[in-house]
Amino acid sequence: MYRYDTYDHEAVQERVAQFRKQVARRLNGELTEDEFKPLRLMNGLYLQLHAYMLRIAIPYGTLSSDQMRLLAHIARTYDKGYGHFTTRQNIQFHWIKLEQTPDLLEELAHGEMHAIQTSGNCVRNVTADHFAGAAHDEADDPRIYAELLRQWSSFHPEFSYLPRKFKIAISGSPIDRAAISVHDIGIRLFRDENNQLRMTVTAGGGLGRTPYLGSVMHEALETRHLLSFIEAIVRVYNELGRRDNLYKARIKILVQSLGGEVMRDKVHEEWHKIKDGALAVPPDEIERMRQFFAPPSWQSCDATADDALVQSQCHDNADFAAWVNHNVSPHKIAGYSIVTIALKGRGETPGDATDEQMEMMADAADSYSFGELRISHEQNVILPHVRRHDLYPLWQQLTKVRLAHANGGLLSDIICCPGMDYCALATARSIPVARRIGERFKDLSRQHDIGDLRIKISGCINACGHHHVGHIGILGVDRRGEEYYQITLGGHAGSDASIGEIIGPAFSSDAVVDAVETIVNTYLRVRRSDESFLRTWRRVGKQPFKESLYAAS
Amino acid sequence: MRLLEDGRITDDRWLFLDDEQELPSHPAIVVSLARWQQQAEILRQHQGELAVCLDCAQGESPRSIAEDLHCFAMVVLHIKIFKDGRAFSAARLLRERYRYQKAIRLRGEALPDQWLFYHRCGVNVFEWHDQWREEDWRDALAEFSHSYQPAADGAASIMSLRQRRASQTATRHDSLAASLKKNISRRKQWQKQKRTAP
Repeated sequence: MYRYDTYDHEAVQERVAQFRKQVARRLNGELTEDEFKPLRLMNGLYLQLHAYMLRIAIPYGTLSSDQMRLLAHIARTYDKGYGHFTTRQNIQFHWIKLEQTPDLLEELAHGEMHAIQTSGNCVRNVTADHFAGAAHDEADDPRIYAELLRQWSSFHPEFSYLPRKFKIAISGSPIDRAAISVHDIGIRLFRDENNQLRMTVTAGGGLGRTPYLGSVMHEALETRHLLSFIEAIVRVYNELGRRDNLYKARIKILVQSLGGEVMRDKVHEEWHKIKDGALAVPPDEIERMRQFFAPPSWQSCDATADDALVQSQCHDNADFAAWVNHNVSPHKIAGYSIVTIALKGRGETPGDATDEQMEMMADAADSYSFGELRISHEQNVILPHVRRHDLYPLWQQLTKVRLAHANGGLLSDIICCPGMDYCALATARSIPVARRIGERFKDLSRQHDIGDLRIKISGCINACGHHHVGHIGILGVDRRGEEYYQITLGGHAGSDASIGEIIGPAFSSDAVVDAVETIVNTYLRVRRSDESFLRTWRRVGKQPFKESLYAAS
Repeated sequence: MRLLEDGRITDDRWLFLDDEQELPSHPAIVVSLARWQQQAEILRQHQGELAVCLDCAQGESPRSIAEDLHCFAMVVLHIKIFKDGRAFSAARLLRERYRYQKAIRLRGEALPDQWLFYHRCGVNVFEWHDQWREEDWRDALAEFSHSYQPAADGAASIMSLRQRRASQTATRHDSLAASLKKNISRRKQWQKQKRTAP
């Protein structure tokens, strides 16, 4: 885990003091709402339908058990006893009072957390693979570089008033679990033929109104050039990005209008002027950072015996077996596993957790995972380092607080934005749709038969629910005051990412769950043996789905 | 209008010229980029100080006047709304890329909450609003003691401060180790002397 030193503590404390003064000026009328807005947004504070919403960063998705307890405390003290984990490794509290935010931020600062730049037209919380440091396939721990970027981007004097928000994601593995190709900048670490660490950097990916995958800006960047290269990209964007139209202001539009090649030339021209300056990262700084993310002291264990134990436990208990099958992933150390706690209970809001559940997950992390937790962009919580022989007692504990849903990667593991239940930007509700789909497919064995199927729901075109990259994507739209849902199929957020295709006219709120069921049934009818939904779609295309969805009309 | 110039409130001695306006005999004039590009030769003859105004909101950039900067006693960066962040990049380019040492003035809407960032990027002249208080400038600059990134203000970044601290600790360790070594060898010598002494 990264730990703050005196500089980091000083910076977040000074930020709290600054914001306290700004809130006071807003409350006494010295600042207008229009002037206050960009200032509060840069501290993660939105004005929503019912109250203020505060978005707190969980940098690169890593947090300690004590930090999870701090979030539980905030849920109890400042909110209604729960919080909502987002698709960008943040947590949101939806019932916040403006006058209390400075105190809340001060409590966070003591716990080495903050809400800095979780909103506004600046470089947002840098996200990373939630399996970082535990994945068996990673070239290096992406959090080392994510933390370097977090610091570089914090209070960046030049890049705090960009044309639009700016999101960076980083992965250390060939398998992309961080959706890097749909970020403003995506970074993938790999080792070249000489075993040297290099980075592929893409720019201009994004979802929203016009989804694009990123264009390559550098195939093999040396790690010491990380900050200067990113600074060059953001400077070109700050100078040339459109500011006349909110919907055309993201970097993806600039990359599309210039063309990937021209953008790349401009970035390289700028980079060559700054690459050997003060932004070059000295090797000992990388090593210093690496020490923070050093692996915990693994216990030696008899992996074969532990595997046999888990197997027999699975044999005796079908529910446990299903959970192991879907929520437990391989770890780089023999005898250990990565556990996904799905915050997707039947009839519950995807990503929501109560204070009690947060406390419980913190305790589980202390007992079984070296006190460490992760938040995934799929809105789940991860215990990264669990001994295999601890899986059964852990599962039993999670079951008690309704956190052992065996639906990781399955149909009901839905990504969903807050939608019109909370968000002022939304055009339709999304949470009730997620709940109704969960209800319709409540039979877990049916879900297991359907297999890997990702449903992603957004309540408006801003695409916070990533619907473009859902195997089934659902977008809520407003049609003359009525909620309608447009369905896209075949999107995917992995290393072979693709943008989903609109299947046809939108469905009413009453018809949308039936439509999902029709799609699933069509898939089950045309799939070959254990072919996944995505593969089936890529093989058969649109036609059979379109036919069964719109046959009657 | 009054200006906030390096933290002091001064009277604005500059005259902004319209492009069609005849060249007056004024001691300090500001012309647009277009006028500079059309009439550079004439403007060079101007008796008095000359400044150029870049309309950042129209995408005008210091990159287009890099060769001419020695002609200007001031570069004005004009933005329309405070959310437009292009002047931040323009100021850094002027200071860091082109080593421009004279005044950089921000024209248009800027909030006191942005002063620190503008200052870090190299802007040193702002247009003053009378509802502001003189001490606001000092307070704004004092809000953060250190910064994470290098910029035009030349302040050492936190990364370089950490490096420096680490190397000082290392040197201290080295000199400690050296003096320890010296002590040990002195002691050994002394013991040897003691042994060989009659």
